[in-house]
Amino acid sequence: MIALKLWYDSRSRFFIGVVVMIVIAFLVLWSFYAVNKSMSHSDAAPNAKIGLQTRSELLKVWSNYETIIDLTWYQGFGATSIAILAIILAMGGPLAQSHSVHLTLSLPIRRYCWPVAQAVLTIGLTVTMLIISTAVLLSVGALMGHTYPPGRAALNLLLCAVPTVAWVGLTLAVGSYVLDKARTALIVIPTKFISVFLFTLPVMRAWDIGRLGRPINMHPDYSWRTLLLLIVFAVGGVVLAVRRFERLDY
Amino acid sequence: MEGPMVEVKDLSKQYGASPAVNRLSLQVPAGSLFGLLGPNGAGKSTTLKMLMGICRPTSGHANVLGMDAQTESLKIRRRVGFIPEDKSLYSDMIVRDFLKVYGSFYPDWSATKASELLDHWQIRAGQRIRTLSKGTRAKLMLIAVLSRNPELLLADEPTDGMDVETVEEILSLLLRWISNGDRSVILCTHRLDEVERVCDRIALINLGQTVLDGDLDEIRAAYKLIQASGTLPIAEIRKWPEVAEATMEGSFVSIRTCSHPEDVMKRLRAYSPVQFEIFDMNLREIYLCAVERQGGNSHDRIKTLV
Repeated sequence: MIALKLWYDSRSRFFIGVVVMIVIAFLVLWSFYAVNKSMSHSDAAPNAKIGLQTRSELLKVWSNYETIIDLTWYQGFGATSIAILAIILAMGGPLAQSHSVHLTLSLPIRRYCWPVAQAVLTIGLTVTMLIISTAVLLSVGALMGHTYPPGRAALNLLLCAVPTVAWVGLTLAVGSYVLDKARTALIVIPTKFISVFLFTLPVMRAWDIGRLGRPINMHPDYSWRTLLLLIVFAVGGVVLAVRRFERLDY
Repeated sequence: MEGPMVEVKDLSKQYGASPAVNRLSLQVPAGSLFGLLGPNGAGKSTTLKMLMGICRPTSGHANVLGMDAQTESLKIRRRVGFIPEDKSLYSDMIVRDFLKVYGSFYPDWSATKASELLDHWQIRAGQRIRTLSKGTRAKLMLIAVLSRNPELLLADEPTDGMDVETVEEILSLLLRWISNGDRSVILCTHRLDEVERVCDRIALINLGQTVLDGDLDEIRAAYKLIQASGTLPIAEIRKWPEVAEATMEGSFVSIRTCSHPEDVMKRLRAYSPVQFEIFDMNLREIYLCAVERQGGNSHDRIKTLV
């Protein structure tokens, strides 16, 4: 019942999200083939500098399918896009529907169930979007003769999905205070982008919640801080949203 | 059920410094179509929301179906139907999905009954709610609520935006719905004509306070306009406990009673008036009279009562 209501609220955003992720997956594949092709056919000498690296160094990286998928999908566009889509999914729900809030609150459901169910459903839909788009990406890659180890794919997918939980919590918390989708987006989405730069600062680097999605960069010393921040954002955000929703007088 | 279906005692709700409901008390018996009347901002909607546990009272007590509105609001919401003031509903959904979602919260909800009512009012199940007129959305909300057979219906302006014929139909439907005697409706409205036709009990509220409360026929019998001419002691008449208001123009006196008009008549006869007539008052006049009697100035606010 509550899931049905939330699903009807979220489904259009979910389907659009799946399409967006699949488009990004195709862009990742296209960039892999396009860069490889252009560098293979380049007239530049192997030791010629392209940016900071030599042509042969770049060719070595870009010819490795697994590395490119890690860099562009799990740690690049894929990871950033899924976090943004998780924020967009979490922005809806009864908290943001000022016109129908009296009807929603008259339904025989305890108030705390709404933000909790919203968080669970958002995380579930986010992971589903990621699974579908990753499956499309790796299947199309396989059809073109490039394989990616399934175990590594599953682990990276999980590590890529986990940080989105923090953004879901933060979005719910902000949403419960500003009670408006547009204003929530205006606060949370820029915060997501600012955080990318913020976590590059030496003092903040250890707390980078996106670090989980970048296993090759993850230092074991940093992992507990990353996890702590993740839990604070995710659980704290949902708890704040519940408290706010329970206390609001409509 | 035995005892009143709704019992409200000294209920208050304060939003910041201004009171929305101020020590409101009322009782709704079983089998009653109860009219909660007042101009915009009188506190009607806030009262219904407090009964449903949507907002919390600042002080006072409300019992619905024998349950405390604050501590047992979940149980109340299972057994009570609520039509909110804002009929936007879930505007992004289509009618079919809205009914499916709404019905999923209630085990006793009947999809067949909902379908029959949709056909009756010619509402297409595939239509998006935001494209429906205000009146059709109100009908849709009524369909959703009545398809689950609640024991009590709290309806906030249920006929808002409807044409005259549909209003008549809805009111007849509500009358039929309570006819078995164990259900009640609280009809919250500023349309006095609707209430006069269908309600058996009313509470008139102004600035969050009960101005008048009781059986509509008894109220009508108590509130009369007596017009008389002759040498009448106006100052003394104003002091009579049955008199709400008395005015004099020349030798012509207009007296509005708030109880026992027959006693007033009897006493007036002792002064041998030249001319002597008694008239019924409509609900609007009764409301004004009751507010004046309470010492409130309602002339600006009463404009919202139609």
